[in-house]
Amino acid sequence: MRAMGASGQILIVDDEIEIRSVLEEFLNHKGFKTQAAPDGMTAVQAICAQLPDVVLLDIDMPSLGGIEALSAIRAIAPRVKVIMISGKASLDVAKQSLAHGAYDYLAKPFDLEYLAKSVETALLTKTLDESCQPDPLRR
Amino acid sequence: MKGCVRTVRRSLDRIAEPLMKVLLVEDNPGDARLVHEMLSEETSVRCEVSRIERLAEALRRLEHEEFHVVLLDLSLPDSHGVSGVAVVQAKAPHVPIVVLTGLDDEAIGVEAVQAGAQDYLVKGQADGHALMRAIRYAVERKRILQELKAAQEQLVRGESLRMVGTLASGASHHLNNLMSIILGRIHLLLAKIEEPEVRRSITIVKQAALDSAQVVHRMQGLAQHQPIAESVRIDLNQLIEEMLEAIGPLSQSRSKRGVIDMSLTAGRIQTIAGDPASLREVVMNLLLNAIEALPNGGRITVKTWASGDSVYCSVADTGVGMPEDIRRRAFELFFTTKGSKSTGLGLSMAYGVVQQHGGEISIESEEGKGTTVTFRLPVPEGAELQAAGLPADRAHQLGGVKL
Repeated sequence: MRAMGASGQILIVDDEIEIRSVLEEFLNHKGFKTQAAPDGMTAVQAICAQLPDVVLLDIDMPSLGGIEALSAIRAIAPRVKVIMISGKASLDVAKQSLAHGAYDYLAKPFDLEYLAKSVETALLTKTLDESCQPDPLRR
Repeated sequence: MKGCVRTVRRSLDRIAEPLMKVLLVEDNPGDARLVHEMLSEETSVRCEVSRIERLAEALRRLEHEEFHVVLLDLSLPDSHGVSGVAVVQAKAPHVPIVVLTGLDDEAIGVEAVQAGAQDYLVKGQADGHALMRAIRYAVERKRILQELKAAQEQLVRGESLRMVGTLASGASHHLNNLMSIILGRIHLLLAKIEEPEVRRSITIVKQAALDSAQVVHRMQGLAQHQPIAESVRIDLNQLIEEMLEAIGPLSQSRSKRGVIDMSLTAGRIQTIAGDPASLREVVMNLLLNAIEALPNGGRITVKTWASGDSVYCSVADTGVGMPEDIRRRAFELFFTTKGSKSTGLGLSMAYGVVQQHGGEISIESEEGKGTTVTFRLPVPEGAELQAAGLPADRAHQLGGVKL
């Protein structure tokens, strides 16, 4: 299944280069366009430069941490769907993420097919959101 | 009994047993008689003195009989010096020892205390009152020491659980990252490779990585079990019933060479307060262990009952059982007899969870006959008795498994 054809733009934010590279290769293979950022700060800059549809955001990062980055992204680009990914599987982190407006929460090590499904559903939801309320900031 | 008169002295109630059973190990008849007389003159406690002459005989008696105290002469026909203290202690670690020394070797008394005796008396110097006092204090000192040891053991075990949890928590972020890379790359590889041989190898690597992730996850669990996140009222009978239903099909598939008969004898118990998720995990772990112990089929009997301000649950299997040295290590972290398939965390986790709920857990086992794990959980104040909560036909009594 390729939701949105190849139109989805995914921003991958993780401080571990090999994880960024695995996710990029996998999502590209699935037909998504990807960009990657090594930390929250770079991610926020990347979002300002080019608005993605979905952000895969690692929670445990140096400099701007995941939850702070999530808040920043929600402030500057409220329609972007953010999927949080954490290496510390805990219910508290999941709850905290969702409370701060994350779309979904995945624990490492993630199942790539499950991750793809989550990305596809996020894209679908975003399209539905936009058809209900056209975003004046976009296009 | 030897003319002792019991007097009521409230302050001594705790120390004074209704009957103080004394094992006197003394080969010299004169010294022995003196001790006898001194103890019979003592009116505060009724004493029953069993006198024997040799250490070997003392060890035999201690094996079959309970004594409150051992009065031990250090120059016996078959034992000389403080080594006797260690030998008696090894045979009966919970019985206090008061050493009797001669006038000329008081130094050996001190040595005996260092070796584990609770006190020493110099023969001919002590009167009945001093002897009784030494005995009573020895009993009390030993009791406190035992309590201290038990508390320390519990603390060390709880502490090591916490430490592993904290360690795992710190390392888990890193390990989960690495595991993501391994599993991610495996996923991409499997999409490209068609040769069955290579795919088979990669699939094995994948399973191993998934298992590793599971170990990390369970270790993290040890840390996260700490304070009970949300304490709610739990009907333990219902929780066990759910677990039995969940595990039923698995039990039959595990035991290929026989049928496993599982039953719950649900007693009328109060609701307890706790974290249902972690208690479910405890029950699940105990059931899984019981199933593992029944490769040829058998019976698993789960029982619940209430006693005092506690609720008890036992999981008994008629399986292979375990030798004493394994039983003693069963709660140790990472200890397993199941090879690489097991993390050795199941019972450690159960121990941690039960302890956090203010309870205790213990194992009884006999090789070839089976194992019973029993845990106790305190009942919160004001909890009401629950009905057994089971249809009568399911709560049938199986007679239990006596171990």
